Amino acid sequence: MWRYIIKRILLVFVVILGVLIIIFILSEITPGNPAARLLGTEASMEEIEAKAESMGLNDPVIVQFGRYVFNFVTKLDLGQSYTTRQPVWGELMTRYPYTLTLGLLATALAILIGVPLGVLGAIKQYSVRDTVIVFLALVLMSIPNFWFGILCINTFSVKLKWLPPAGTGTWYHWIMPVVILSLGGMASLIRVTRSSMLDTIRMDYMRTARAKGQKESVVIIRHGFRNALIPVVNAISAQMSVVIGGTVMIESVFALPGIGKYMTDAVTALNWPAVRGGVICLAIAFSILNLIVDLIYVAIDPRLISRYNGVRGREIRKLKKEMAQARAAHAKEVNG
Amino acid sequence: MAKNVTPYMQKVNARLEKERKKGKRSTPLREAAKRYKRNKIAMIGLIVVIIFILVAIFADLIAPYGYDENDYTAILQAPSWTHLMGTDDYGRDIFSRIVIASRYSLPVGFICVILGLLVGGGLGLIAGAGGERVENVIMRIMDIFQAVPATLMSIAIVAALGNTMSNLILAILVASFPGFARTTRAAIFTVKDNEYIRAAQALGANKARLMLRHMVPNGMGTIIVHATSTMASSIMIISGMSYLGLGIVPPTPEWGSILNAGRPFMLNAPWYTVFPGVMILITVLVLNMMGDGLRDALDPKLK
Repeated sequence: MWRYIIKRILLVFVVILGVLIIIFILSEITPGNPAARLLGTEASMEEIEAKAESMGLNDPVIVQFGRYVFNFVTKLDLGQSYTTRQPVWGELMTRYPYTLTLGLLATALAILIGVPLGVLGAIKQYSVRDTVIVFLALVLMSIPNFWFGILCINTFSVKLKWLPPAGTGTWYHWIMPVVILSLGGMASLIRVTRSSMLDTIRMDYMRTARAKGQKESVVIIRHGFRNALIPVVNAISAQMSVVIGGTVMIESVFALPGIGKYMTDAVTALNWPAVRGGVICLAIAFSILNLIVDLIYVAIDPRLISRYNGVRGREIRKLKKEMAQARAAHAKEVNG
Repeated sequence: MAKNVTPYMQKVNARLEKERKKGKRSTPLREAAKRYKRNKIAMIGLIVVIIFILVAIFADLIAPYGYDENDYTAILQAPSWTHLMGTDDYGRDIFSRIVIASRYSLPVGFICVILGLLVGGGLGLIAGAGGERVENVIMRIMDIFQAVPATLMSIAIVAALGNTMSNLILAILVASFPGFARTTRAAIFTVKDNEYIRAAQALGANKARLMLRHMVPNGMGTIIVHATSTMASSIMIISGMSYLGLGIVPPTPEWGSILNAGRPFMLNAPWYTVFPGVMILITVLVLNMMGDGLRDALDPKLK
């Protein structure tokens, strides 16, 4: 088990390094001189040249990349924002709580509503209730959330004056953004839970549980639902990426001061260090959340570990090795 | 031929007899088509998708006005018989703009999916059919690409390269090809160990033939389903990007950008934002309906 966990954690670092490389390549091909952007329009050529030299912009790309990673890892330095001249890291950190709250609340709501609805649908397949739930999931999946956000602001804030249209402050401010952001994830959780439940409901052990006179609710929850959980946990981790991507849209619709809003503002102002920092931050958050989900996954699915380093796993690996050797020997014989 | 021993066998035999008379052989594909036709929701999806494609092809004939035809005497008018979906702040007919916009939204989504299928599918095929080491390298690279959420990746790429149509397609491609690679690899894995693959191998088929002639057609079901849902999500991302001002630039009509332009007039002219959003919703919905139907038809075991 520890072997799997350590390998999985190391993988997070590899992935983050990969993300850094991709983002750095993107920033290299972005037109415009960062030194000139930082100094503004009044700076002379000499000043720009001196600034570029001091920022190390004349060094080879690989050196610049090394420095960027080094600065980020040791000093949490992601460069300066072009518009505010402040360190990007500090600006991101003041915005992080909003994005995190939005994302986690939306995921939680999606789980709380999506999973029970999926179970309810599966218990009575093809009933009216089931059909309604399936179609609801289809519609929820297809709603463009930025558009729905605008409609909701218009209805609930402007016309009915029930909820504040934008910004933060009270918990009322969170209702609309969280609900709208959760819709997509809710839809996919309904679908995954339902189909996974349908698979387990037909299993023999369900019939056995009923035959021994167990209460129906216990049969469904203890025998059915627990066995159907694994694909659901998997879907939650897949949904995380959609939710994090969705925060960008939702924050700009509801003017929430999170990382997404920061990034969209930075994109329109061509403020590249800020965009780069935002993408890296969200990618790191996503990798860590995914790691947590994967560890939960291991905890609820013992098969994964046994496959990995149990006696059986070891045997299989040994057999595979032997077979590969035999195959190589055979190939040598045939060819040579 | 099987004897008519059980009622079920009688039914099967009767069906086979009927098909023999028609001269049709029962193939997996025909069976799948039959299952698809029986699925009402899926058929509605298919019909609406075909209508949308026709509308996009004949957009010039259907749109009563030009997409940039201003009429300053008819600004922000409510829907009526002369302007089916009302007019915008330049007095342009919104219905015409939405119809002509389908010429951009649909093909861009389609091109993204085809390219994603070629690039991602190719990589997934190599990963699935190749050795363990190749697979590990390819899949870890896909992990890196997937660590950046699709919307973010698209935004970063368009921000870096500039705001053009080809960059938009590239952005969505980069965001979607890891998904294709993953699905293709999984699909290849399920068919890889079948006996017919080994039989073909024993008959002397080389790797390329094994992959393209035997593995790909048999794993195609899952890949097609993934392609349909990716097309739906690509259309959503494209319109979302135009909404943020990063997609297709005005005055070229695009559903997301029309919607964004209508935002300031939300209170007095709700139709300006409602209709383009409804179009995105319906397009994505029917594509998803089609995808679900295809999944059920191509793989009856899944439910």
